[in-house]
Amino acid sequence: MQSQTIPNNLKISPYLVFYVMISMQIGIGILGYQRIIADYAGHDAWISILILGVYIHIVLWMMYKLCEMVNGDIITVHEFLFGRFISKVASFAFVLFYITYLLSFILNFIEVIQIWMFPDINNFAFSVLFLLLAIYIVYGGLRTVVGICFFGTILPAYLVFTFTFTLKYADFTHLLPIWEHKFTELLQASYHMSLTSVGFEAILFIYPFINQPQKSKKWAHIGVATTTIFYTVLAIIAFSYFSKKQLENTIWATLSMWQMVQFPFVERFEYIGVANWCLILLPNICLSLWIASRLLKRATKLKQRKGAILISAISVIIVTFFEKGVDIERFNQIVERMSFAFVFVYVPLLYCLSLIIKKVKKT
Amino acid sequence: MKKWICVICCLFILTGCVQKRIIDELNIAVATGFDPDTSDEHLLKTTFLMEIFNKEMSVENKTVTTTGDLRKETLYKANRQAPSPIVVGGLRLTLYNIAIAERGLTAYVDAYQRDASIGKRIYFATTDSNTEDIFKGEYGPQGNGSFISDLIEHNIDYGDLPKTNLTLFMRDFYQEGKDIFLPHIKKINEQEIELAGISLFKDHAAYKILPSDKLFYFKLLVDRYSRGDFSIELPDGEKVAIQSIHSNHKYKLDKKDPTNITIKIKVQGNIKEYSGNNIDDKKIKEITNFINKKIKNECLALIKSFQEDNADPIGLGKVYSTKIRNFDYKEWKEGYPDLNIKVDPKVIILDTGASI
Repeated sequence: MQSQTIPNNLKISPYLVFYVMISMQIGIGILGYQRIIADYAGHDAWISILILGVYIHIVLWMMYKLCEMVNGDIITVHEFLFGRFISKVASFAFVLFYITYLLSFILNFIEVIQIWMFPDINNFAFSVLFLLLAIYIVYGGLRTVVGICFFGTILPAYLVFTFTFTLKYADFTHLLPIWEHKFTELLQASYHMSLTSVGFEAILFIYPFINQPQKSKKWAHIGVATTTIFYTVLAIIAFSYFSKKQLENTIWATLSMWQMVQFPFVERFEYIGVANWCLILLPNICLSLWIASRLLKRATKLKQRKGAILISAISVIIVTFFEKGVDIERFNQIVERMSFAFVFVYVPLLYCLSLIIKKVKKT
Repeated sequence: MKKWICVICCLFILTGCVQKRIIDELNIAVATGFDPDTSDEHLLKTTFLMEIFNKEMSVENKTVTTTGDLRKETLYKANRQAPSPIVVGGLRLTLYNIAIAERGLTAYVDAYQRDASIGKRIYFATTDSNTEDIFKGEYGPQGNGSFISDLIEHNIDYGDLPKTNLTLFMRDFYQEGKDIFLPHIKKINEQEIELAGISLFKDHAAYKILPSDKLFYFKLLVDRYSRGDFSIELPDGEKVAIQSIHSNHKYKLDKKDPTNITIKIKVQGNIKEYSGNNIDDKKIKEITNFINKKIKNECLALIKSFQEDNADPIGLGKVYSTKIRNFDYKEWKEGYPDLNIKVDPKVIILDTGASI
């Protein structure tokens, strides 16, 4: 087994995992998940978020068990279970996974900017600028990236209060009667919620970098629970604010709710909200880039700095191919399936397999 | 070091990527109006109202009128008549000629929802006269667009107008089991304009105008008061004015027979003016009972007329859909005119002012 010792001065404190979880989970999906889940479960869709939330806790617990087993990241797990070759294949698969992940953030955010702020913003220029910033942060190492996660959670946190403006127009009777939909419909909505909720699988990759990982467990679970509650509350606000068919016609429900916010000094708050969203996306992009480049380094001995540049270059090239909103929609569906398959299907399977293989190896 | 100089240079070059819009070089439309075109019934006449700020701090109303098929098409055409591009980001008001509203507003909703640059707090209103004429009047120093939207706004906050804006309009527009309504504006003369009532809609088309003296009872049914005023003549000929009215309503369905529905209205207020002598407990009771009866009768009359017209501005269909599982709206709509609706008002006088 490849020994993996990380010097203590490069490790992060356990409580910072809380911010990593929140900043990785909250990304671009939150701007419009309400419509997608309401398509399947109507006004009961908030129950689906809670159902998925419970499942996330179970998966997170499995992830910790897997990492504890080998005291390393998911690649070490693969090496331990299946040998070196498979672990290399898995590394490349994960690199691809994180590149698509990163692309989905950039593409969707560019689309939001084009529709809500600047119709003629240049895909290429924006992604180059954003990725240059991300490379610069990744050069600082994981500690810097996690620092960005911390600020990416704390600084935009004030946005939570802006949703109280919509309460004046909220009609909570929209949520009645509760549980009118079939359980299968609720599960379908949970499935479509998965893309918005993933991100916490980053723990599989940063585990070796956590100082006293046992202590971080608590923080990871608190972080995941916080996002679940936040998503549920935001969905309830959206369902009470929009009528059913109106929500079906609203792609970015969260942004549309901001159109109601008014301060004496700000006529249109959604512009500030969209601009602020850069800060929320930054940790997502940085950590994805860091994970992808680190995996590349482990698999090919390519230096992490060069890997980061290579991955960014590939991403920029792919971004320029996307022009239509329909393509982005299709791309999102692929990412949704991929992330669901990896996080919610593959990881539990791997856990079960690890239990069996451990038993076999002992005897 | 060289590397970083390159990066910084890039940053400066790339800042020019986005189109600039300088506010002095734009025509910001504050209001639009839609009228039918007399020559062709498919076309519509659109009037854009711009406020031009003069050096002497006064506001000049400038209108541009064009005809076209699509709302955006009229905007392109309007640009041919304007010295600088017209933008719709600053819209505060849209007026519909009642003839347009009677044809139905379905075709107009899309543009307002699809264009993210239009705010969601703007007001929709209907009017009897030509919208171009309305925009050409001189009502106040702040400009006509701001004047009319302020008029609507303060009547929502302090007056008898139920809450309305683009968001609520869209919500009701898409809501199954609730018909929309819009404020109705009337031009009196070149200097004066008033809120004449509410235009009621059925299947997204205007069919009737509710006069402003019924608005108090209408608002009790569809919205809640936070600060309202109300005056009434008592049977003995005395008049009483009630202020700072708070109201709230609840719907109670009969469990055994859901076709029986009771609307419970709670009204609280202070007496601020009374033309008679003294107010004692007995008098308060008398006044309370009388107002109770009045609210009950007026509200019932309103509901009855809605049932006869088969329109549902109160949103009873929506109320039923939240209280009954697997609710079938079409079946309910057929039975709507025969619903047994009761009104149960409860008036509470909290205070009688500074004198006895």
